[in-house]
Amino acid sequence: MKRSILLLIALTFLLISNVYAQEDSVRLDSAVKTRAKTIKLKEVGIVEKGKPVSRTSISVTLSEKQLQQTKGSGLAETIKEIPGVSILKTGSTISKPVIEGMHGNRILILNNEIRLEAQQWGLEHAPEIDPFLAKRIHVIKGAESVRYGAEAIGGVIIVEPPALPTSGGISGGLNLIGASNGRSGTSSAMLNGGLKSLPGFGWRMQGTLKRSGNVHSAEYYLGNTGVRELNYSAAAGYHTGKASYEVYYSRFGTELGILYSAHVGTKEDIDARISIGRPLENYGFAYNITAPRQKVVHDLFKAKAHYDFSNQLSLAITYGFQKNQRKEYDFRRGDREALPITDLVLNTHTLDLVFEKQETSGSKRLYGFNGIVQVNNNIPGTLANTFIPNYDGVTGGVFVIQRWVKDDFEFEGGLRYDFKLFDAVGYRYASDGEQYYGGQSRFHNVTGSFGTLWKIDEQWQLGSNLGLAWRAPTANELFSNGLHHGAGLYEIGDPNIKTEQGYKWVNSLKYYEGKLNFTLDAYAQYINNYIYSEPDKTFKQTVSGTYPTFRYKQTDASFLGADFSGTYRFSELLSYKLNAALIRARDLDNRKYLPYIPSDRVGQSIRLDFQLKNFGDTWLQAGHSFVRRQTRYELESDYAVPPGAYHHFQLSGGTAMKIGNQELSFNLSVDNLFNTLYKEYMNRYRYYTHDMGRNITIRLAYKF
Amino acid sequence: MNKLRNYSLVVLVGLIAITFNACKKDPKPEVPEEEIGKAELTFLEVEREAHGDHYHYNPIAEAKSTIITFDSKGLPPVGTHLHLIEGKTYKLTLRSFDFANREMQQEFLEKHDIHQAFILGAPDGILTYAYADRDKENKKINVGVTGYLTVDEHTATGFTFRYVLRHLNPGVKASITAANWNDVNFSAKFAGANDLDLKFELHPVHEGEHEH
Repeated sequence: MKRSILLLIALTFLLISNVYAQEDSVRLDSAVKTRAKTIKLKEVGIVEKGKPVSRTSISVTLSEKQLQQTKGSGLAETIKEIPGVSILKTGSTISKPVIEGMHGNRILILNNEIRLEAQQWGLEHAPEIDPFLAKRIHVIKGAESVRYGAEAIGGVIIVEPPALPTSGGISGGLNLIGASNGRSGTSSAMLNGGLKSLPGFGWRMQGTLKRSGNVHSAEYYLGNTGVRELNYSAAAGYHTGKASYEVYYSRFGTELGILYSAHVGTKEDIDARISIGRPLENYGFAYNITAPRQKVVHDLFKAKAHYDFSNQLSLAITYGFQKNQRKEYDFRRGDREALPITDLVLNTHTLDLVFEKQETSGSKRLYGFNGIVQVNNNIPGTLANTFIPNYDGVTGGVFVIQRWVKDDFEFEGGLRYDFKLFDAVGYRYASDGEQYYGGQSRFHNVTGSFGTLWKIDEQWQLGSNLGLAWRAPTANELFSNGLHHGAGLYEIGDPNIKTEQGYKWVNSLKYYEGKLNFTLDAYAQYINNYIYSEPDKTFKQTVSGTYPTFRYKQTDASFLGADFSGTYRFSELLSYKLNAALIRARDLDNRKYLPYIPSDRVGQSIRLDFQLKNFGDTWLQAGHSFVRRQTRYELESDYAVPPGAYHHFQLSGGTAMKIGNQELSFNLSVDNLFNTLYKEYMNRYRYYTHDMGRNITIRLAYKF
Repeated sequence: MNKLRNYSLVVLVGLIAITFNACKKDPKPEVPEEEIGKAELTFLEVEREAHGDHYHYNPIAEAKSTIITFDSKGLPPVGTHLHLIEGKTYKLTLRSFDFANREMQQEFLEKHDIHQAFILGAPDGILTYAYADRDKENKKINVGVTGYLTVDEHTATGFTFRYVLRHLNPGVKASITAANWNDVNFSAKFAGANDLDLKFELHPVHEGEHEH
């Protein structure tokens, strides 16, 4: 209650400050009416900043045009075309992005500048982000913990929304997407506006509605794989000559079914299911979602103020509040299927202060502070043991980043110190009695990074980034001791687990010439105290069944790999693209392979770009991808050998039409063109089912 | 503009105040209630009477029942060893209890579309089992809370008798018939989880054979 009142007061203050900001600007506007045009130009300069990614970062950006071609997919599916990015799936409804072999708490996702804080530890917990929000998505492959904070061990995903308008008029867009597999329909609309009477003020509203039913593999339906999603957001901002203010709110809400066939209770069940490798039951098509299912609501509130003290000095203050509510429902006795078996609420407050000092030479220095306060609570009433404890987490970090710019070189170096306090209390009811567990842990860490960009000549460019990043162990790694319902595993944490430190060196060689363009990224990563869970080859008999036991352990691990992306343009009309990624990961202490590392993959496509009469840019593309069987695995740490290699073919095409200021675009894609029956190693339900069959998607976009 | 900065400062202080006011709650002790606790299997001798293509089972007035109890792990008391007699038929009934010791076998009958028991462990030709459950409308259903077990042959030694009550995934039950009562491949064929997996040593013997 006390917290709610304080929040209300704070929100009221924010609104008041915004109102005052508007009044202030009205006065300013009338006083300097004659200079209005000059001021406006300057404002545009502030709003339309470049990439929110340093040039010395090894990163890939998906443009608005590229995003248009994958609209309707989740975040992970949207970025999987980037070489080095793959996905970890749990059935067909849950996908997590993987950057160069890292996922979950080893990659950081920034949603409109706020780090996504949800229950990322779960392999079956997908990121709570609506890709329709994004104008651009950037994927940083370096371990850039200094700038972005802990957990950026494997990389950073930045979801960048469009800038708010600063002048009058209304613009917007509508997207309609239909897909054959799952008979899914998605609609998303965005409306932007400003006020002529109040230059500098802008607003945006956006919403997405999605529904899809049971997905079909090449030969059969996957029971209970429907998804419902409703997301919306609103933003308002005000820019004066020197200052800018922004408030933003978004909600991501999803309900998704989890494949029936993956529900197994005993070792006998697991063995039996694996030996068959596909469901024996025949499920038809249905939109209906029943247990096991997940219902997740993620609210994000952001308030940001940016102030330029002079042309050189500026300060940005960003506050974020996130509320993540996760309810998981499982098969249960009686009417208890309506009760969640896991019911968690995670509240996260983040506060970021960045003081920027620009030098005339283009060099700059950043001083920053990041604070995170997190409270996780299990909501009583599940009538089941909780899997993770209630906890408080307080993190504070300070950093300094210096950037030097020379004619052919750019350097960036940074240093950061973080402190984290983690205080947990959990309760567990076991057959041998009740037990309270938890405790307080403190973590200190110093991290650093160094990046350089060498513009060798007009065509060649070499970037190198060396980063040390860290993460504190998560609640489940420390304290879990029970059945992880979503995973069907009995997991046992270790309260003595230490922080994980990753050293990542990424190099990127870029070649740009009219006809031939390519990028080759090569990386080496060493992770000290790599946290992983491994079956201890015993089965835990609980009152509800028998489950394989997994224990959290630490080792030192190495990751080596390379990603390639190249295009050759034969003519204005015809081009060829080749993408490839390979990764080699090792558990150094035990001299073993690590599980769930993507296998080698290569993708190629041929594309025709032309102008069609009465239409704008038109394209046709045929693609092929080949995924090798993962041969680097340890049989004893998995239930089954990795599935075989597979080929995929894809066809797509699109066109656009301009009618005055309005644009209508259309595109159609066919994935898994030959309806191949296949399994992907990175799908955790590959034991029980095959992956998705042919999928035809139609996308219509209207912009005005 | 100064005013604006002052307000921003107030907001900042306010937000920091909220931030540091938030704290975790001590966990409310949550007793897992859905789980299944103890169970009982009762064997009561009946008379089996052939009636065309099916049997009728008639009570025997002086018959005494034998009850085997199981703990929450599905295990009987140490040394449990039951003799059933060749040629005789027994009414086999299940009583199951939840965590709070409330009887719950009725729930299996109410949700008969997702529950079915399998009787396993006997060598071929030794036992015959017939489901004898009824739903609310007195219609025959195959669950296995009540059934009739006939001993067709004796065995030289005992074997581990297994009563598995399967909690089936939606849609699975349609593919199971009464003839699947002893299907050893039940795990593979009939997806779901085991609500109960009760095991004890059973020894079918000749009438008059000595106890051991």
